[in-house]
Amino acid sequence: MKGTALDILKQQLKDSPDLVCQPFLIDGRTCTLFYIPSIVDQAMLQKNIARFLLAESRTGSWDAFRRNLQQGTAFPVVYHAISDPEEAPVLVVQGKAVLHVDQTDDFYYFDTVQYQKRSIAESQNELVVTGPQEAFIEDIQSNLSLLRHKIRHPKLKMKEYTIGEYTNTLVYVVYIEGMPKNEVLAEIDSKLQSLSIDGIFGIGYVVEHFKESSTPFPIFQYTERPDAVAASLLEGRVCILMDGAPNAVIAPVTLFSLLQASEDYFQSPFAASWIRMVRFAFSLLSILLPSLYVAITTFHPQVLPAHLLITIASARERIPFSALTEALLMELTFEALREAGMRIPKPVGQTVSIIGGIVIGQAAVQAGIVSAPMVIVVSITGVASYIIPHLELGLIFRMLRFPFLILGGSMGLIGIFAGTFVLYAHLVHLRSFGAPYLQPVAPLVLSDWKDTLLRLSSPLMNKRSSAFSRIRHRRR
Amino acid sequence: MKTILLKIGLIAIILCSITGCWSKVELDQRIFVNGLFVDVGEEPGTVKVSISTPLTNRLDSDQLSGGGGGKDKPYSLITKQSTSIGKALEYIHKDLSRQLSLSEIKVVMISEQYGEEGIGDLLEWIKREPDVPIGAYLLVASGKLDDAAHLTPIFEQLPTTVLLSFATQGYMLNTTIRDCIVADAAGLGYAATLLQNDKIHSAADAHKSETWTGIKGAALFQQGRLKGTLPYEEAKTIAWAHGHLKFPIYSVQWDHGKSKADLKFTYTNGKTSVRMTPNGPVFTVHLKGRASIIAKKDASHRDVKDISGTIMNQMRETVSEDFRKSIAYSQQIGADVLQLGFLLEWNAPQYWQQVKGKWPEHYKKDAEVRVVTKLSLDDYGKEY
Amino acid sequence: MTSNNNWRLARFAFVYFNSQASIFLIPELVSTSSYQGIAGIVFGSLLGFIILFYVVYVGKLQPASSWVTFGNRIMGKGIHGAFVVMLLAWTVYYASYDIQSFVLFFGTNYLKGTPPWFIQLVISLVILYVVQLGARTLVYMSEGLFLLIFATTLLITYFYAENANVHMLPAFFRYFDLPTFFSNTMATFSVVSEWVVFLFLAPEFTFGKGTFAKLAVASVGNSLVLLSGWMFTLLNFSPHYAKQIQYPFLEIIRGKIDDGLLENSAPFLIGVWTASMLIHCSFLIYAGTKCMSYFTKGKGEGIIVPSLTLVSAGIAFYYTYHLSAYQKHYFSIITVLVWIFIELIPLYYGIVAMLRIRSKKWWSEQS
Repeated sequence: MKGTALDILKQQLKDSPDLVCQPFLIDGRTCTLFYIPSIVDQAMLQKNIARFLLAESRTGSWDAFRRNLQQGTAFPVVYHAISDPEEAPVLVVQGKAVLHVDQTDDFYYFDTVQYQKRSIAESQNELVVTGPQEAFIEDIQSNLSLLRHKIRHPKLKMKEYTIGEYTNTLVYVVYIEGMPKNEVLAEIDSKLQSLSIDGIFGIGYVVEHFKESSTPFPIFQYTERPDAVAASLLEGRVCILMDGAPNAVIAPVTLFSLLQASEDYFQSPFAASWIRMVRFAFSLLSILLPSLYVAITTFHPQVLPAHLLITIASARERIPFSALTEALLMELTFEALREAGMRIPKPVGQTVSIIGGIVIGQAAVQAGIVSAPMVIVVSITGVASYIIPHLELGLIFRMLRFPFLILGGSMGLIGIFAGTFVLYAHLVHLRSFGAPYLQPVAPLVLSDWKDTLLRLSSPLMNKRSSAFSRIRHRRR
Repeated sequence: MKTILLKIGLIAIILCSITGCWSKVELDQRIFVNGLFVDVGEEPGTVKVSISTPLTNRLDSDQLSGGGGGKDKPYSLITKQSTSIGKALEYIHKDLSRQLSLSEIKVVMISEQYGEEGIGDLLEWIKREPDVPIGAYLLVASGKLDDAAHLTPIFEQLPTTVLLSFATQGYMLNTTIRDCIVADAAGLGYAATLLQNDKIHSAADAHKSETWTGIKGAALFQQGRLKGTLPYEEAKTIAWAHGHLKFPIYSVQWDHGKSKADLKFTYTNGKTSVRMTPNGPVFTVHLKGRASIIAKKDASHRDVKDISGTIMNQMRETVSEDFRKSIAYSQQIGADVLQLGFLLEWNAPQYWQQVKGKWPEHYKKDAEVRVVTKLSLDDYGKEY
Repeated sequence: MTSNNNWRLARFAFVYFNSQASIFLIPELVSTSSYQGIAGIVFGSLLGFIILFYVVYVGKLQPASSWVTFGNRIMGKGIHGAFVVMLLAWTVYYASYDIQSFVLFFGTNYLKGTPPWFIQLVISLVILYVVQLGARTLVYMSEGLFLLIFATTLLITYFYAENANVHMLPAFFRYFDLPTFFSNTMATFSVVSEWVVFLFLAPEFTFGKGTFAKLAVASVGNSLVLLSGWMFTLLNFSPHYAKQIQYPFLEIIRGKIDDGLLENSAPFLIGVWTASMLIHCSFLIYAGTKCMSYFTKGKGEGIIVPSLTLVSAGIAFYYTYHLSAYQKHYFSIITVLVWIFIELIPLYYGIVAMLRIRSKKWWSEQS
């Protein structure tokens, strides 16, 4: 059925004005090169493919050319035969150059993919002072090259998957052989194999399909830094990278790994330990502070020292709302400000933040709509919620503030205790790919404490975490 | 099924809680009582209860930082009488626009008269009422309790701050309600700071006179009744024996009053111990202290280093004499203010079993209390 | 990994017993012990080791399966069934005591005006959620709480020690009479010997070599907490006043009126103790659930947990409106005897097993 596959290709790719069909006449027979110029490396194509085809078209013999082609020696670059001719149009739109041999169903393709991409940028969201500044970009090959630059060992393995009916996105699962627990790899593999969706544009699309239990807490860790990924791989974790997204996803996670920042490893152990403890304390505050304030002022004022109590009581004198209503109002306003702040264009940003601060903060207090201690509490909470390095976790903590606020405002401290206990139970029960979410606190693994609340110096951290790795012996 | 039930339960709780928050009282609907004043009522069998509270509606944050200026006083005193303390508080409460909060009581002050009738009811009420802190300090007012309650705080914002400082600063005793309850339960006695009132001219306005309250001495109790009082110098030694006296100053004289010196104690401590003898228990009270000389006038113009021995001897004499007088008085009225009965209970249980029924009598007649002073000089002040 | 497992069980034991030892037992002891509690506490704890020994022995007989399943092979179906029913009733009743004591404690001191049924409802919902998460989660939760409880115990000891009158110490060694000693021993024993519920940790957690030693360490820790709590209560209040106090710890906190944040932090320490109490209560209901599923052959756990929690809460609700009945039952000698009878269950099984099991093949012969 000569030409049928070619017809199929032309039929599937019609109405694509950016398709180029470049014919070459070799010894009376035609070879056509199909490609889309905007997504192929034109220089490489001209130099390594077109030039040789042109040379053959001038002097070559068809049989010799055909033989070379089949042996794989016709061009100085690697090319492959396409087994199923129906794949040919897919490969063309994926940026490969496809060569069709006249009067046959033989197709060959060259790996000439080159998308528009930006250069390796600085990390925007995970800043460090000392330490590498580079971050992942959208191009998967660049990302993999950054990783390979960090880990230069044959045991670094990558498994490739193609996900998405229409996007055919490349997804790579990267790990160091022998280190991750088997169930992690098995679960990721089976999920990715069975995934059938229209398309994915961010790694989040993939990640959402992994959530087994209904929990708001993230069971993956996002990062845009190759050094963070490399360090996680060495801990025995697995990383998922996607073509088209500048984030990598790491699994499994524990709550404490989500509260760590890359900066911790580039500073001295004392400073890093101190910052970690501050971070941890403020993460707790970001959930509990408003509810504690409301519960204490309405149900248990004896907790406050006498002088502070008088100060707060006098500040609340003229306020028309109850403490709970006041807190809810301020918190919701803060959330609105935060959300608006994300969309404000840069030139106007400064002005609006001043308005937010002065109008809402000071004017509301002076007008007697909210009390000054409440503004302080809400501001500290707001600051505390941004101390969390992982964005999604910070969002969840911000979200959890509200149920706790209602619990504290309606039941007092017992509501907060009950809520905290239930949250604690939920977190202890949660597993991220088999790793207990609150390890090493619950279950208690003392040897892992060297890198949880404290960050001891490198020579002392000589065992991998049992939550992630199968191998626990010396790693340094 | 489980999760649905749980979710329904949670929604139910939230709905319930929004409809009626039973224990919820906003801060601006509370009155915090700082001081409680208890006196005998005008009719026999009644008590007169006053509460001293700060007025948060007058305590603006500007005023707080600037100090208690302005015409309006940021505190108030409300008084009512009834048959019991609880009832009196109810009468006070019904006339108020806010809820009374008793958890901030710092000072409980009684009049001498009320103390003589017995403070058992007061202690019983405090034991049962869960809000009232048993760490509140007990003070006794000689003269009219009303005057003491109306004292003008000149250096502080609230009058109870002044009263609290009498207990905490260490110039006299820091008896808490807890100490009273513990001593009462064991059938022993205790001593509390005694205050007196005065009228002074106001610094701001010479025509106005204000009430000034100060320490007069100590009031001695046995089994909940006030038995007697001690003047300031002698009461100091009782406080010293309790280990709670700060920076007492003593004047000593020698050479028949021609020479004198003042000493200020930088460290004081007291301890009691007991030793059983065939004649009964012998209690020893150890008074320790280190002093520095702050003034000296010697008739013979000797150097301090030459007369320090004399000074210290006089010092020991003065302190011991004061202590002997106070203990003798406490024995005379049968008030075991140093809780020496406990020492017997802990160290000589069999003897205590015999005497505990009639301990005040035994304390009056049989107990021998000795004092041992261990005083030394820290320094001679700035001069040689 | 086994030694890790043993220390895990020890931490769980410490947290499990902590609420009973530190808050509930002390008023009871203080009301009767006068100056001589030390002997009773020490002796009661030592007796508790006997129970612990038999619990570990019975647990080790078949580490991979739970006592409810293999117990009938030791005692016979009828007797074993009877014991399971008794244990079921006991766990539910004990859980109701927990709930009611907590409601009384919290309600009278911090939430006056709130109807007790509301607090009971909240507690029941929390327990309902936690029990169905399983034994493994409960044990892991207690591990996380362990450090917190350890730190707060130290803090509480500091509070206790501030106003303690150390001159009272000689009195502890000068008083002794047998009836008081006996009643103290029994009271302590009935609380520290609650090891029977540990049989329900299998099969998630197994008893093996060294389990007895590590659990004994936890028991000693609890006894120390109990001893220091009792001692400091007395040193602060003297036995005459102490025996009138319902909640000594609260009185200590109320005795401080200095203006510091630390001194005013009592409710948070109570929160930590509440967590220990909730673990205790949840594990009791969990044990009850396992007892019930023995009869239903493992089915219907979704219904059993809510119903048992409801029954517990119901009993607590009854006691709320019959307060004097609650006080009478709680402090009666019959309660102590019933408790001791149930807690001796591992002893019965252990002794019978020791007599009957002659060889390792006995188990396969039985089935």
